[in-house]
Amino acid sequence: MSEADDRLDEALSRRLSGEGQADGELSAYRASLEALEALRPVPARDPVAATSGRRAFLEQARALRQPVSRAGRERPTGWTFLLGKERSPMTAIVSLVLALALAFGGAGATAYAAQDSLPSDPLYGVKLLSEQVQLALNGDLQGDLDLLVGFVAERVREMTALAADGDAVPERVQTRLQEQLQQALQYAAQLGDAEMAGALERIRTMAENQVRTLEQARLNAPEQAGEALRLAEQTMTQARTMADGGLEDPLTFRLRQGLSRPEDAPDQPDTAPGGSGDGSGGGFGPGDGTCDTCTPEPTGTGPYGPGQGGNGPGGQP
Amino acid sequence: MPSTDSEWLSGARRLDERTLAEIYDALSPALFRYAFRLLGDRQVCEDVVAETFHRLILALRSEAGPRQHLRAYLYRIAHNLAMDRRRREARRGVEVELDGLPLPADDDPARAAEHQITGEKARTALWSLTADQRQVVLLKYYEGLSNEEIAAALGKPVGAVKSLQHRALEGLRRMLGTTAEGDG
Repeated sequence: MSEADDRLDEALSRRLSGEGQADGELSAYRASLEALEALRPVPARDPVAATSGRRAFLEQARALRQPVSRAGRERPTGWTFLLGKERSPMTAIVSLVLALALAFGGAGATAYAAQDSLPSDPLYGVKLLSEQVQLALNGDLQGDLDLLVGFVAERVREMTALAADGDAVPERVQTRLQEQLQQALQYAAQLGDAEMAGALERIRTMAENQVRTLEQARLNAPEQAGEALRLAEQTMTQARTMADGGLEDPLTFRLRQGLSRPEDAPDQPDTAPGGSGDGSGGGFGPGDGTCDTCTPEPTGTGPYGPGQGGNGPGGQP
Repeated sequence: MPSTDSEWLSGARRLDERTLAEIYDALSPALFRYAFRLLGDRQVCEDVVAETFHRLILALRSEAGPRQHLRAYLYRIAHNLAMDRRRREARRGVEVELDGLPLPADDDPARAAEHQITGEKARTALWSLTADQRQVVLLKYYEGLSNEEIAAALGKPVGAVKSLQHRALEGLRRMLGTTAEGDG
């Protein structure tokens, strides 16, 4: 079999390089090789989608970059940011940094470092505030959703890092995780059908990855942190179920999110809902959903010590 | 190709923006083509490409990303995502309206219809193969990867790739050969 494999491989290589025809070793496969040719041409990509995908990828990378060691190297600095042409999340962060620098004198330099801080760090509040600013300034539903998915992953990273250090996970992190997931699902419900399906796929995949990360982290976590990780795992599982539900039945999903289908959505199905939803939104977690402590303090002060970040393998194929 | 996988990976691990942009620009069109041949829906394929790169970022972040053969690694992620998508649609019983394959400008309607039908048959035949066989065909036949690169994508030795290729062609012959001859 091995010699036959080699001969066939050589014949196919010759044909693919234009040196031979589908004869000899390939004669038996001529019809199927010709049929495969029908799939060779591929339509052009949607330039908007391609550009948006590129932007999202680079923003994800930017959000995850270690801020302390690389803050000043590639990022533009100075007042030019205030006059910049784009309203990217990085612009938002820098605007925030400048605002903090003005308000607190010199705090801007350390605000970059806040992007990687943990709930036990003094700058954690700055990090949460910068997330809010990014959302507020983005102005694009898809972009907001991407940001939220990234923030949820960041909450999980914070939880696992705290657990790895033997620290307790503050309840506000749990609450924020639930809120940001819920918000992501609500934003997804506001998109057109194709975009909503894509967004729900992303949420679903992210939830699956985070469940695996949390499962792994829980194995060696102290009891108190372990319970928090278990709750987070439950939350992510619920999110995955809701995303699955949305993929199966978009109409019911939208109704549960308290929304009707957007009128200007591009891919209107015959069964599009005519009215608004019933307002019974889906939620996460065992509590009643209220949260008195989930809004961060802009000053970021608090009685917290330093922590070391960590993350699980989210993207193994 | 201007940069090698190792140069790309070195920059990517540092989350260097210029390198990541270069990787995206160089590889995302190929990943899109790869996904389109499997799924046939442009929007869905854009999602697959976006998710593939998102997973790369997550992997780099957790220091679990590829050590070499970046292209092969990305193809593998894209293939898994395409399979997930296909399985989910099958489970939901969704009949996806596929985007048409591009046609030669001078094609007449009858030939165009025949082209579309042949393309769909080829796609169906590809899905009838095992996952490894399917990847070998896609990567070798359409993307022009070497046996070594395909071996890296599959995590198998080169000999196994050749064997998979042989079995894949046999499978396609059973699915397409007689039909094409009968139709033709």
